[in-house]
Amino acid sequence: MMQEEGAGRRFLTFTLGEVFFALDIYSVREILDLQDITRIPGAPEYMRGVVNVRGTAVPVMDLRMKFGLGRVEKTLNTRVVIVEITKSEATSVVGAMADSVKEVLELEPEAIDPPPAMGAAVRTDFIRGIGKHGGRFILILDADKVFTSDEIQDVARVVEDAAREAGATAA
Amino acid sequence: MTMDQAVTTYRDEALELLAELERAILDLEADPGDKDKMAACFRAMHTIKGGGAMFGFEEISRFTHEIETTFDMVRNGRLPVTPQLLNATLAAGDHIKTLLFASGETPSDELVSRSEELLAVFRQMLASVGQDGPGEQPASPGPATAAARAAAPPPSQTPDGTDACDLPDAGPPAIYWIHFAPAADLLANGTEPLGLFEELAALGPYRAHAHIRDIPALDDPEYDPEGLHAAYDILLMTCRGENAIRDVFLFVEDSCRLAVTPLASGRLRGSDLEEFLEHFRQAPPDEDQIVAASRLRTMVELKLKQVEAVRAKGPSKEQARKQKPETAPASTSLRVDSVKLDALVNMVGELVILQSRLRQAVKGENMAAAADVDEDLERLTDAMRDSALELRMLPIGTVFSVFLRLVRDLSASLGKEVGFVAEGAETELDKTVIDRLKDPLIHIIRNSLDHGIEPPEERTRAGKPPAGRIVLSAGHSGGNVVIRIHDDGRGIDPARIRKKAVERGLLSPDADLPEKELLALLFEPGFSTAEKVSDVSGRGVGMDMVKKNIEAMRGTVDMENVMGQGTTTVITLPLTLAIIDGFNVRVGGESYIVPLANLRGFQERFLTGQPRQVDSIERMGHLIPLVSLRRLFAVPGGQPDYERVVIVEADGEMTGIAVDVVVGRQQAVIKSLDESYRHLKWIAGTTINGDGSISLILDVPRLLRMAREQYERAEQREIPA
Repeated sequence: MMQEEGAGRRFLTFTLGEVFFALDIYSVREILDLQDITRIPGAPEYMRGVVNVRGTAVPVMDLRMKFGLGRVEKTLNTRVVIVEITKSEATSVVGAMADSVKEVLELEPEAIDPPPAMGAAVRTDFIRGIGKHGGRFILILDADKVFTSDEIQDVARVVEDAAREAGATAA
Repeated sequence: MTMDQAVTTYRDEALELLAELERAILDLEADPGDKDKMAACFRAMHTIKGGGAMFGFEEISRFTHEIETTFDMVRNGRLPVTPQLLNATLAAGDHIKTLLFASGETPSDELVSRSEELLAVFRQMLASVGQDGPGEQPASPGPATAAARAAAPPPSQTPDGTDACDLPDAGPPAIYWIHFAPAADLLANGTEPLGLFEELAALGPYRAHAHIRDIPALDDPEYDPEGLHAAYDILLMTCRGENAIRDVFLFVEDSCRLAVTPLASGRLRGSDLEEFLEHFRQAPPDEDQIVAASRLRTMVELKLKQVEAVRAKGPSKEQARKQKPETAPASTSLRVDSVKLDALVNMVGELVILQSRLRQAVKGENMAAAADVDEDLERLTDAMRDSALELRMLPIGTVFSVFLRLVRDLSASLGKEVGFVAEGAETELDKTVIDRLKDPLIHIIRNSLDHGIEPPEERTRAGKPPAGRIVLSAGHSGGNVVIRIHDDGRGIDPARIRKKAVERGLLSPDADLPEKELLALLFEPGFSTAEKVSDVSGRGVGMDMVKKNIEAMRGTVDMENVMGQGTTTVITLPLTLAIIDGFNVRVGGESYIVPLANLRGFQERFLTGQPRQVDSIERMGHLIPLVSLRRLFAVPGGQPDYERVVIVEADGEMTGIAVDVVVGRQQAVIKSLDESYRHLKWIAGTTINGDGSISLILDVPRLLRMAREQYERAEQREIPA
């Protein structure tokens, strides 16, 4: 029952560089420490390779590279968030590298704004909304879209624009 | 188990039964006296029917019922096994398959009329047995049953009906008009008229009109609440004959007015009969019986003609329908020998025990005990792997009957005499492989039938026996399964391949190719040597698909050809798709598996400076290309000055692949790579090593093709510069 009530409002937050992101808790299967990644030659660079998750080779994506925010480097805080996504009616499992995983948050729907309107140059359809928590902006990702699209997204600009827009409304 | 699952199970089961039926039929064709096979046919039909009724396949149940009856008589020796019966049953099997996959609750009219068409044949056979009864030939010693008494008018029309006609002793269907006016005191005699109608219903569909004009009003002093005042006009379609109808009224004959008038032979549905009831409503009460009958007869006959016309349109679609069963989706479930399953479950039990032993050893920090567990676990894991894989193994013979049928039908339509021999049916193969092998094999056999085997006259002229022969043999050879399809036909003329290849621009006119390479051209897309396109083959799509399908299963396909003596197609396949035997090699920090199937040997090379991506190396007096895996995959790390070279063969050519270290032989359990890497065709999959790290399994032919493309592109860039 608790889960039912919280559905769609509880999020796992993590950071890529300085930026806070969130994923719906129901798409997250587990969080792993960073382990050896087997590189797949010929794959796009943001596809860092595959890791062994209990006998299955799970592809790992570097979200920083995917979003144009540099590259995730190995530190003590680096984690792999294992996400379940629905891809053409089948469920598949993808790992997302994050610089650090923060906490599980509850965000009221009122605290979530739609993604800012953008110019045609940037796709924002992989962002479900922008949440505010503790004076920060949190970009809530649409897991199904992020992990199935092939393009590299320019998230840095989304963040800037969001901040600018928020500043504009405040002023 | 939900209904959906039950239906799926029924479908799978029915498909299996149909395959059994087909095998039995083909065996019966060779030996019409085989009692066991007759019984097998009956059982198959009986089970399909029973399940059909249970899981909502009403049409199948209805359709199968009659065929079951036929085979019941066959197995009791009352009907002979005739080619007509076998042909009809094969067609019926196909039809059931179509019905199994027909969508929707109720089958389309088209399917139903096809059922009727097929059933007509069975009914005719059944009717011929019914006729043996003493009805018209009192001397014959046939079983004196109701059939005898019911011996109906001669089968002037094709028998074609349902309902009561499902009975084995049924005669041709006919429509009767029954006028039934019970005496007012019928109830007093202990007869319930409703019972009479129930008995009529058992004979066939009927529609009745009740005349109520004689019923007195309630306030009529004459009114007797226990008296019967109605009269009935009944139209009945039955296959049981007039006497059966009269039998119904046997005990009331004296206390009613009864007239049974045959109207016409033929079959109508109950709803058709309803149309004529209007006639009784309008007819004047005291109309002459004969006049009324003749008018009714005209109406019924007209209707019969209409129905016949609709039905006649059916067969034109037959051709299209024939193709359908082949495209029926492959079943995804698997039937497993329970012994195999028990063995596996036992091992899981053992595994649980081992785990608790391991825990104890760890708790007590007892290394010796842990080492024991490790040893036992190793043995158990091996055994479990083998038996788990065995679950997927099926004898290839399960698809052979399909080919037998194919050869039988095709050779008849091509006017050729062909014998089909299948050897090694017990050879076991992975179920996935068997499913995916079916279509390529069908294609190859079609080709042999159409292009290979000559017509009888031509064979006689060539000094061969008039009947051709196609041999399909399967067997193990090393870690592979080898399937050979041999025909003793005319073979393929290399000159014709050459001519065609030049025409198609696949070959330059002055190229001089050995025969083996010419034959390989047959597998090129769009290649067909057939002079004209026939129904059977020769559209030029096919052999390339065959090759593609087989290669997708990590197999190879080759042609051997002797002019005038026939062609042999050889398919080599790995035993299972789940495990691959190969060598683990390392480049920098990365680990790859080279499948043993491609491996031909090992060499080495010493380097000074950076190697080129593609170089060459001497092997047994020949210079062969050498690909640096480090360069090709852009592996990070320094270039060592000593490299091992793995010699592989792909597409008939030797190539060397330079790696840092050859670790050793490894049996790799293949895990497919995630969808997101699907464009990387040269990776056959991944495998998890003992230490938890992951190795990539190389698809050597694709890898080398990619290397060649890169090389050619690089060369083109260099030439202008």
